[in-house]
Amino acid sequence: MRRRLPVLALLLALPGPAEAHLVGVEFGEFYAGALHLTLAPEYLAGLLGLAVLSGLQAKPVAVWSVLALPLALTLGAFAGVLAPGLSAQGLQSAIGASLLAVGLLGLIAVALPGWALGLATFGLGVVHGYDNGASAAGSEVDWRLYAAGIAVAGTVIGTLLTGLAVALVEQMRPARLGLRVLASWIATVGLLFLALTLLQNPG
Amino acid sequence: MQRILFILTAILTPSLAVAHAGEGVAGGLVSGLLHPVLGPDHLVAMVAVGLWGAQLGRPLLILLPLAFPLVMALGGVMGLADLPLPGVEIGIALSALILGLVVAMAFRAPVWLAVVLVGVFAVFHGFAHGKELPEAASPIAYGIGFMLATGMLHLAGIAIGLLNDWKELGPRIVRGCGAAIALLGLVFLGGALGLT
Repeated sequence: MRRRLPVLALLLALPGPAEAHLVGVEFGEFYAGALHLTLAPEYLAGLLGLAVLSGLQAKPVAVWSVLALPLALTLGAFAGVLAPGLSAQGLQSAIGASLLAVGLLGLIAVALPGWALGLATFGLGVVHGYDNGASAAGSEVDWRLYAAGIAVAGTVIGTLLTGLAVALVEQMRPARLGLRVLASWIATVGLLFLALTLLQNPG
Repeated sequence: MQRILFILTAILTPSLAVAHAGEGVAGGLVSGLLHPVLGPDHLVAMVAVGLWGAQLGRPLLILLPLAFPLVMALGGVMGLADLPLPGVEIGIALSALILGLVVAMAFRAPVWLAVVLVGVFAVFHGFAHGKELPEAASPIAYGIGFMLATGMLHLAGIAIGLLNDWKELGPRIVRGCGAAIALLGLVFLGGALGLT
């Protein structure tokens, strides 16, 4: 085993081909949608915030988030690509507000009923999905693939993060404190983002 | 032989090209991460918050790192809104001096006083970060970066502060760190007042 390790390390270190333009391959627009969500910190922070909030709930309650997220992201993403009329500034403010809200709820570790967590997830998912979907407005991408990419990427990341948070709390009690600290950071970023969007573009 | 292979592998691994570190999400994240770390006045004050939390134990061990970022965000909003806050540099220098002193003296502050003290200083740090936010390549990435760096510095302070449980020598080391931070704070204060 020890002899194989250097070989394995060498193989891992080999540079792979650069695939900066995945839109050129089959289903490229699916990946373009997936990457649009995956490469933007505000969307990842939102999914992380939801996962933290879900991890601080009882397991049967956390399931509501896992169920509501794909539905919300799909609805939001398809609405975004088909009817991208909402103002960009309003959407950015809504994203900042959503980060602030899930961060604060996580910080105080409030015990939510299942429907309330589902509703919070739905709200955040629709807003983030819509903002992602609207980014394809005016382009000639296949909107179905693009929106599906957004919904699938967000669902996979959100579900994995939620599972990780729930498992961490179950295995290690102090993880609850760690999640609450993380929630305070997300609330901080949300507040700053919200203030930035409101103050930079008043009215 | 195996070690040499490992070392060669590590050396030959291609690193990321960072020709445009100041651009896009990566640029914003990097500049946010570096802002608290490369500013020694920010750095020592953040570490002092962690040290003091560790000295005071629960609930302040958790409360201080929870309260600091939120109040810092309020300071950041003040900076973004261009609200007047006189003596920002003096406030930041004072935070290092005072927080260093309370650690050096192992001051057992009541919960409310510790939160208020740390909260007041957090406003000055947040204000300085907030002023730089709009100029960042990606403001949200910058915010995430400086938040992560701040949190890591708190954690570093808490980790050092855990030496407090190490009989006899541990508490002295922690208090010594506090004294060093207070001395640095004095130097920063001299600089902020134009004395050095």
